[in-house]
Amino acid sequence: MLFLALRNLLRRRLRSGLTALGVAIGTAAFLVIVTTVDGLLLEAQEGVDALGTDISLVQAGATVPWLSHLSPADLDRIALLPGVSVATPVVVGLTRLDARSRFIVFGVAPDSQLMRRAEIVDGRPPASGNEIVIGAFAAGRLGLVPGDRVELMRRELDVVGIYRTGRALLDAGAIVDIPLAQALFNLGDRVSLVFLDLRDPANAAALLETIATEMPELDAAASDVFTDSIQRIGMVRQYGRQMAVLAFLIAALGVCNTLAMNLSERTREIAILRAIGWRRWRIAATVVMETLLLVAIGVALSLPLSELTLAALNGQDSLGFVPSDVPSAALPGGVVLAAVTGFLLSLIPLVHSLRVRTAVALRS
Amino acid sequence: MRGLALTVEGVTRSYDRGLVHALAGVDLSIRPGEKVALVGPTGAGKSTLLAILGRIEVADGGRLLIDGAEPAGSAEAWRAANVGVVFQFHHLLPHLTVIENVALPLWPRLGKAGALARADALLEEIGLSHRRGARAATLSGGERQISAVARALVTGPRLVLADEPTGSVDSVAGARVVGLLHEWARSSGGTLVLATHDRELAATCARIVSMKDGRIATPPVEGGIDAVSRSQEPAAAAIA
Repeated sequence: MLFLALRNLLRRRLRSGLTALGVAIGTAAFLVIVTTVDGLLLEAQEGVDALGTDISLVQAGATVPWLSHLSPADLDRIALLPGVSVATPVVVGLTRLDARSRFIVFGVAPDSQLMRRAEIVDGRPPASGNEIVIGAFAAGRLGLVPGDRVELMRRELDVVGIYRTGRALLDAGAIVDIPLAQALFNLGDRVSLVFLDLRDPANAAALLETIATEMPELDAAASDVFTDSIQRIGMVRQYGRQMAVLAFLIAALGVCNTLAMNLSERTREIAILRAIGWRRWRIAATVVMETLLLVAIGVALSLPLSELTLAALNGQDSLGFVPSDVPSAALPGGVVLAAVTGFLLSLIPLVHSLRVRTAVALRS
Repeated sequence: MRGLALTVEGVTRSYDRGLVHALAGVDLSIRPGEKVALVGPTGAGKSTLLAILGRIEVADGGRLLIDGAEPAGSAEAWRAANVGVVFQFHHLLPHLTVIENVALPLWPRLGKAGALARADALLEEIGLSHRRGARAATLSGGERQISAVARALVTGPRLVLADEPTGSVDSVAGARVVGLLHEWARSSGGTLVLATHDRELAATCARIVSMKDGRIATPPVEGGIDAVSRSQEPAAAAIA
């Protein structure tokens, strides 16, 4: 059966190739979207983890940190929370340095613990005034070195250093002093979020409850779930998954159409096999095997295609969110989706081959 | 091996929701090893009767008896074990080679290697082994039909049904096709039923059944192999 299925596929090489390519593109689209979205969320999560904080606080309802505004009054109340050893205010703003790149600017006090956790690999940390340090990823992409000047929000800033945290989210951005960040993003005396370091991290859960009860105007989260609050991670992931499945289904419909055309042209062939004594199930198994082979080839092709696409996206990615390759965790989803779709697609030839009326097909 | 005995009693078959009556009550009995030609104009019902005899088609009414019993079980399995079918337009699979086409009926039973070995032996026997690796699409019309006959015979059937087997080939190839069928019938004792417009081809059979408008038009005509030698010189040569 395998031999005959292969021969059938090879008889129309172009059509078979395009069909497999359709499966490959659909699967690759799924993998790339899932990988990109997951990569974005993972980098955001790990970026926060890299700061080493226990609890993060943003304005209630803010979907992204640059839309969160905390007033000095909020900061005063936060400072009075029990068990807090350090409260670090941070300004987060999203901007762009050139036409195609956008990156996050962090406003952090130069003497803060957060700033100390960023390794300065060239130059020095920013002092007050118009000084900025650039993340290693962004500096490499934009060709910036200490001593350069950059224009940010129509303001000339001196690049005084390059830092590295090891997290793409942070290394794709820049850090300035808080007052400068507030001025750049017109925040007045407000900040975007506050990171809390606790004397005893084991008390995080109790403190979260206190904040939820007493400070409903704030969203607080342990840093390991911080991204849930800043990016509505579940929603983003779900949206990404839906888009990925949609992209896959669009490709699958094209494949489905080709398979249906293929079969209608082969009705007589199926009838001939029946006439010479082939049982229905054997014919059905052969045509189903053809479909599954096409899907398998498509899935195999989808992996290098995904890698190529990710590499291309990675080259254009100014925030460093796009992983350079498909993580192994994303593969099962893609393969399962392709397998299920392959099974569903194979139902078309299966039903068709079972329904062929031998005598009618031979007469036509 | 003994040929199949076939009987149809009052068989009817219509198409297009009863508008076209292909068979309007046919009674016919064919003895084991008999060679029968169904003749008649287009639309007489020959091909439909052939299809019913081969259980490719199911009659609307009447009954079919095979070796005196009503058939049961899978028609495909029965055909695979007992029947070879030859179509007017060969119906080879164009993307397969000659040997693969000939091996097709045995493939499910013997697997690829076994089926190809049997097909190879048969092609050798009928003098087509030099074309075994050629794709069906590249064959001449005569070669295709001879390959189709080989496909029908490769299983060692007890019954061969041939629908206009010479209808799409030249006279030389037609004679070869007829020769192969008769040689098979003679050597195996199998039952041969063919449908044809060609009176000369019909005359090669022991019995001619004339059909018209879905019925048996005249009492069956007893022919005889003598007629074969007189009218089918090339066929006789091919058999020899």
